[in-house]
Amino acid sequence: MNLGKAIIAGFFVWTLSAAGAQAMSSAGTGPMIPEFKEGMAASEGKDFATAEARLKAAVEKLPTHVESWSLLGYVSRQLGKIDDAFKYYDKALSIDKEFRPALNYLGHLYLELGQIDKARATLGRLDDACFFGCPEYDDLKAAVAAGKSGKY
Amino acid sequence: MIRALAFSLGVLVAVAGAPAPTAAEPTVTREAFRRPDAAPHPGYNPYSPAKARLGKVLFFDPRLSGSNTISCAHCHNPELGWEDGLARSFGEAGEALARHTPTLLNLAWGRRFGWDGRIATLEGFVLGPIANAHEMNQDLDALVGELRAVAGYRPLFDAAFPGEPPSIDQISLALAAFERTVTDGGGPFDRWVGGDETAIGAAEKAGFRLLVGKAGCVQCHKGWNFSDGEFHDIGVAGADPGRGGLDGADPKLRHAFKTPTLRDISKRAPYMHDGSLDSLEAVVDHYDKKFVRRPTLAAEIRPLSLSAQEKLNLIAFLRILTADEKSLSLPLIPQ
Repeated sequence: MNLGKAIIAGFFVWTLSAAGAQAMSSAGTGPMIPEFKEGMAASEGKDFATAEARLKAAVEKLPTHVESWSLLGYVSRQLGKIDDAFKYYDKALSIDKEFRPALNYLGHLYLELGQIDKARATLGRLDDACFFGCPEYDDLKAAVAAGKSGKY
Repeated sequence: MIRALAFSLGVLVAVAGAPAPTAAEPTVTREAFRRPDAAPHPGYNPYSPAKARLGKVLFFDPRLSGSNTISCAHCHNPELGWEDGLARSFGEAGEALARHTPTLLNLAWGRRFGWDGRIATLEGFVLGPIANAHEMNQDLDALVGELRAVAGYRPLFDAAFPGEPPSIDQISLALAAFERTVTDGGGPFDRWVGGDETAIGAAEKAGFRLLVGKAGCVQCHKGWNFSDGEFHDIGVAGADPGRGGLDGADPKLRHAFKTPTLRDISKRAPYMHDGSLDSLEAVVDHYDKKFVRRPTLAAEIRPLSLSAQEKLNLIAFLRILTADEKSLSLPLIPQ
């Protein structure tokens, strides 16, 4: 391998790593603060009231914790607090506009509200956020197709 | 012992001829049945008269089906308590649907929609039957194109959503805004709750006491709308998994369906999620002793041992839940 090729190869490795790092960041690799961990466990156990309380504590402690804002949006949706869910997704996406879970959740929220055009626009944002494909994109894409075909 | 009945507002209702209230026979106040003044509209879809007007026109427009032959009112007929009088309705292709058409009455207060509650908002729910291949079988994008081509729709969409071209999202918002205006409006029962002792007769009052007492209906049919909005297996025969069929569902919710309102119930035969019971008499007999016993059966369902007179009283009460007549003007369909 000559020096020129090595530089080009190195550049590609660097750009792929950078893209990968960004993708990782937008999938959520923030610090696992205890309040978030507790909120996530409660959410997985479908104890959404507890999850909401713990996640609010998490964002109070660490206001830039994008994972907590995003999950707080999801939990609010499960509690039927639709307006709050929008507020928390907006907050998450203001911190990281390509945060994939928040985009996925937001798309699902739009579908739940019969806002199929907005869900499709959110799917476009998710497509941009995961250039090499990601489970969140596949999930939302399937949901949009199901919603549009009346599989309710 | 006949307990004295104190039916003044805010006073606890005791139950005539019934044992003392237990956990299964809650003590209920008449105030618990007082209806709210106005239907709520959520922040994500605030009410406007123009939006509800557009939704009403869309509701009655057969263009919402793929073949332009059936409208939402095909199954949700205002004259039949916003149902259709059939055990199971037929979709555009003439195929019987899986479940009985649920009423649209008082959905403004709903939290989860459909017999199994799979959709959390009315805005999301209204599009399902339109797009579903077994129901109205309409391609939603094609519908938008179709409505944009109808000159008569332009002022309706412009008034409801100024400056925006018609879209699927607007159709959903407008239909939901209209459906939140579909309320029963109240009747004799509400006047009685309001203090008019002459609004209902002795048999109806006895029926009410059964509902909140011995018969235990109020355990699920609670509040002014006579529904807890929850899901219960009430022992209707059949294999339909109900809420238990949803992804990740609690196995205990197999055969569980949402408690329907009892408002306008006498207009809404046949009954149950499958339309299998054709009269209120059959419904009362079902709860009395004809329910299917299985592991998922709700704890509230137990033999009632109602006498013939008690059954008549209970049915008399159910019949006075019919609201006063109010006319609904049908819209002109835009051309």
